[in-house]
Amino acid sequence: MDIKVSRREFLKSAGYAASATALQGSGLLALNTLTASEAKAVQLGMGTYQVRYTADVMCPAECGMEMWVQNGRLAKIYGNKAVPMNDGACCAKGASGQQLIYSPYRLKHPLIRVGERGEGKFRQASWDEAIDLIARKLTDIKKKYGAESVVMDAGDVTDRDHYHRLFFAYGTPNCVEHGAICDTPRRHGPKLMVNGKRWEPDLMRPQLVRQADGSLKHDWTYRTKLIVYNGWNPFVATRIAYESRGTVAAQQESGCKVIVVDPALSNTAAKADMWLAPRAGTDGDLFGAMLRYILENDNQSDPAHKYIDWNFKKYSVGWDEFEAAFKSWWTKNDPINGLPYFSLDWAAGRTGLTKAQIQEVAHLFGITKPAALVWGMQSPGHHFNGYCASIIGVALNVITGNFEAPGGVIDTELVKSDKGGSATGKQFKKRKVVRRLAGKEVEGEVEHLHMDAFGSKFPAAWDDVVADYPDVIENGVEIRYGPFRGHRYPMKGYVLRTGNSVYTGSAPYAWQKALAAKDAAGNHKLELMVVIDTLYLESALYADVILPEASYAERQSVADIYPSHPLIYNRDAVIEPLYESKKPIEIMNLLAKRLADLGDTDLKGADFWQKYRTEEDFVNEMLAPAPGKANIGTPLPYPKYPEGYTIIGNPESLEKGDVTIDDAKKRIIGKPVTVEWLRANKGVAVWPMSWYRYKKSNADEPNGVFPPTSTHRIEFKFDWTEGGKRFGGYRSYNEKIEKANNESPEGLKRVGFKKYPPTFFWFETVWNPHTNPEYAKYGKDYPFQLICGKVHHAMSGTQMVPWLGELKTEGTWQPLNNAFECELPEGQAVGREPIKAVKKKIKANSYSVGTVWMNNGDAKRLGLKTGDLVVVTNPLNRSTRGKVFASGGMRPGVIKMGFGTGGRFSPGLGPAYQSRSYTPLHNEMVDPTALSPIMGFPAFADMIVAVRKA
Amino acid sequence: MAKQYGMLIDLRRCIGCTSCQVGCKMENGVPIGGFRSRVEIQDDGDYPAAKRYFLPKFCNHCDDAPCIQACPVKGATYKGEDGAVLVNRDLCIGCARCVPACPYGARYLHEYLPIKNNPKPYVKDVPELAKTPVKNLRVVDKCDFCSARLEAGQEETACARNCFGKAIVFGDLADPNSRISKLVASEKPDVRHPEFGTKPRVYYIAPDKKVFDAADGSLNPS
Repeated sequence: MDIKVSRREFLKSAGYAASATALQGSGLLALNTLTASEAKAVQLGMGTYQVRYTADVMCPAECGMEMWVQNGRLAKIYGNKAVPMNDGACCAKGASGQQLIYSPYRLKHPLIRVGERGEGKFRQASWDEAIDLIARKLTDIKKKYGAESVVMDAGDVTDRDHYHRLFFAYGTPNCVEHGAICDTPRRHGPKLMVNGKRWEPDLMRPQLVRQADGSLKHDWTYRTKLIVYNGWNPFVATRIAYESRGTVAAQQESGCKVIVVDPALSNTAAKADMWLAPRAGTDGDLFGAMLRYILENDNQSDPAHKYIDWNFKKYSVGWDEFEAAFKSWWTKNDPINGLPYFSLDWAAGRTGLTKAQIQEVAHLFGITKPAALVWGMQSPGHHFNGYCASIIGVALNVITGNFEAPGGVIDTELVKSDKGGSATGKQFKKRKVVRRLAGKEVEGEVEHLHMDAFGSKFPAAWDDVVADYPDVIENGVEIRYGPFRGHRYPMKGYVLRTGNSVYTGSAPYAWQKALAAKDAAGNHKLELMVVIDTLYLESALYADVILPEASYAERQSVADIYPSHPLIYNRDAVIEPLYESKKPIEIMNLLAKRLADLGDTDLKGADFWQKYRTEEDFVNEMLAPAPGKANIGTPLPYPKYPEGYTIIGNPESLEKGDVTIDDAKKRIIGKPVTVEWLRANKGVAVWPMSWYRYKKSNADEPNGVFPPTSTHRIEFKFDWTEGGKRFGGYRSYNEKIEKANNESPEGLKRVGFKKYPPTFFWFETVWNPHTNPEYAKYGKDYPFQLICGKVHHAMSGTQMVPWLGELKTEGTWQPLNNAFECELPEGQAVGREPIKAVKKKIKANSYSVGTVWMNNGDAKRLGLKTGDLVVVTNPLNRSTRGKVFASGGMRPGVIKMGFGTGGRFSPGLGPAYQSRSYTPLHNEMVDPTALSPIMGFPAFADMIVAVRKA
Repeated sequence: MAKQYGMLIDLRRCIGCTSCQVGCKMENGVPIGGFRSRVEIQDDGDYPAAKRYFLPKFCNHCDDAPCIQACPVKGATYKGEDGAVLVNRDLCIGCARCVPACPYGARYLHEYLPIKNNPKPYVKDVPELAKTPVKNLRVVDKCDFCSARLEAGQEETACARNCFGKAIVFGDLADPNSRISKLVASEKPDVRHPEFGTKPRVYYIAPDKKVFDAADGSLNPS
């Protein structure tokens, strides 16, 4: 039974009316529906807690959270049971939030640099002084070089919109986000073929499903029978919260088998039914061999070999061309092993798996339905040629009939709720600007100045190219495509917000060199670097000005998530900003106002400080387009509304029929989702699930809506002309090249391509002596492949949190510390403060640090054992040091280091800073010039190394 | 009849995420270096047959608890009516005799909680108390099935509340219809070290029994 408890009544009775009044403005007095036991708890002395529904931003999964506040302090953190992403669960990291929010290592005041960049010498400044300094410099840069010379990098996706809006309005199109150094090659196939992003198994439970009688029911049934996780480790490096519990639940409840393909025994592999450990960087080889095996051995009349569901052809275009291009490789021999491409023998030779293993995976995936093939960050995502694996992965899921099947695989980008709307400020990119080129005035739009989309290197880099900034700072931008072709400009301003590109955006030494680079007059080439963050990470050492941003519990936004069907939740502000930190909305308005005061007419009060007076104003605008998805699929989400129409509005109004139907625009518009509505509904709006969203609910034919490609079908070809019209995911990029006298982008040239390929393509990865003959010569001296992967429990921005140092996880995060002493946030068992900073001694081997994880047999051969300090060197003469963790859970010949886990050189990392001299800095090993050809993504896991005892 | 609480960890669903360990620290303000609960994660065997074991550890709330027998102060550590083994912070004298008495290492001295009871009357029976100034004596701490939550009507420990794999089941063993009772009846779960004879009431569904050996060891560092 649910009991409605009015927060106001309860607070009055509990004697907290005064503090409640103070918090009224941030909406603390909303009604919350409590369960009977929760309500009883409130009455019985825990009654001094206020429950707030919000989201976790300790990691990008952004699970729905319940945060309990007492005396204005964040006292407890649990998962929000109303949010199906995490269904009430809260991971270790989420629960450790207090130690980040109340960390002694937080940025507390605005700071202005007094030493050299990188020295970390700053003086405290007022907000007025800091904002004025930044605004004056931005004004100066805009006058001298154009607004495009400033890059806004919202390293973290969350709350990016405030900052992007500000800088789009200022006039630069170069506003980027975390996605640029995340897993862009991994997402390439989905983006190219269905205009989506992340393919995940249908494992989110519960799902809200329309029943035959018209009612909505929470469905907990797991249907998946097989999952192949290739280089994807949802138990540790989760971005998709339901995948961990969903995987074990499917194993238990639907008899699902799990195969993990990973050189390392990941925690996911540890629970798998089969662990296959190939050589690093051979994901595409395995996928290619699976596809060839399925095509060669499919037998429609034999149930034991009926792999392909040919019905897919009805919903796709270009399969024949794709298949022909793929098959054309079958008759070519690979120079590395003399075997025909994609044959089982070929793949066995390259992957190091046996022919029988590859055949078994191919057969199991072909025959088991529903199944999901998932490839991750730590496979195609981290390799120079990850595009190929990603494209073949899409093909495998589609031709076997698993795309959008119940229990199959879902493109979560295509089904999640829309958000952002006009708050993102994208409309400012349409503003007309004039640049002088070869003595002529040329007019274009702000967006035509984008350094990637119209630049000389990676014009198809949908998610921007952060890893290229060191080169851009030193050598500038050449616009090669679009109206401003021939325009050159320097990068003069870099505003980094909650990212840590110096440390994680490819090789730190390249960043350090570029940020310190000076011109002949002794001025920094990059004239302004601003860091806006809650924490003092490595990149902040290079800032000219640091602005302290309120922590995630102190600011409001909307969670960025990848569910199986539309849902959206409020990431509410839970406590007031600590110290002198400010919320993004305030920082945006302060900077906009100051720029306007200094004469910049592009920044207007009506777009900023007069328009958004509270966080709620901004978030309501972000919520306005939700869910923005079409009424499609089976069962039809809203049978009473026209199929194919776009749904907008909160679930309550849609259910009630409180809508207007716009037949011209094909929209069903209910009452909007608002902050107020969400707060009254446990923070979350959930719309119904449906499957087979690519076809009509009552006929076996395309619905013309989904997927949102150029043909509204799955596209196996990427650029073609038909009936005088041109189609395909690469069409617009090839048109740009053609209009620019066929001058190819530098990225493509590196793999010998002139234009973006019309269908299936293949090229080899870099720094891999097993697959690319160019690197075979290094194999002897550098016998180990080096891979990396995030340690979810202690990602690069959260390693100052001791509760996460006290746990161990996979081989890359082990208690191998030297004894140390430092200030730590300590949990309090009693009293008003949940956390107090204390100076504490930590014993050796009791606290986890980043390690060099290697096979125990390899270690033995080198005379090494767990805990030994080693030096790891690559052919670029770079090295790093770390302690060995030796176990059988690693393929021989492979070494793994945590991504962003060692060599922490900012004192803001607290305990992790203490271990910097004996923990490996993986990125120091990355080749900063090996940016992958299409998206310009660093080849984080394409490297070979030698290991010796230190 | 009073409730008889127990806990069950379904290791088939444990994903080794350590949410229970950290959620416990958050809930109870456990100092760095001390543990009411902890997950042991251990690699075992050689490639390609290597395995990794996850074993979340808690106080077993034994029905024949050696820690209670070791306590020199009547009622300072005791079996609660609901079956939990509890510490009365008003009575504990911080002698730490219970700490090594627990074969599972479930107890630690809480560095920020000074004792409240007067230890003097016990010095005769516990002579080592004389070695430590009274102001330096600290109460012992351990898992109490989140008694503060239970008292407030939240019949779910923080570890079970937040468990990411939904592997932890907390409930009333005296109620045959509770989820935990049904699982105990149907799955015949194991307990850690039954040979200790302490009658634990924290159960494990463990398809691979090697987990108890490979990931064995004291909950708190000795």
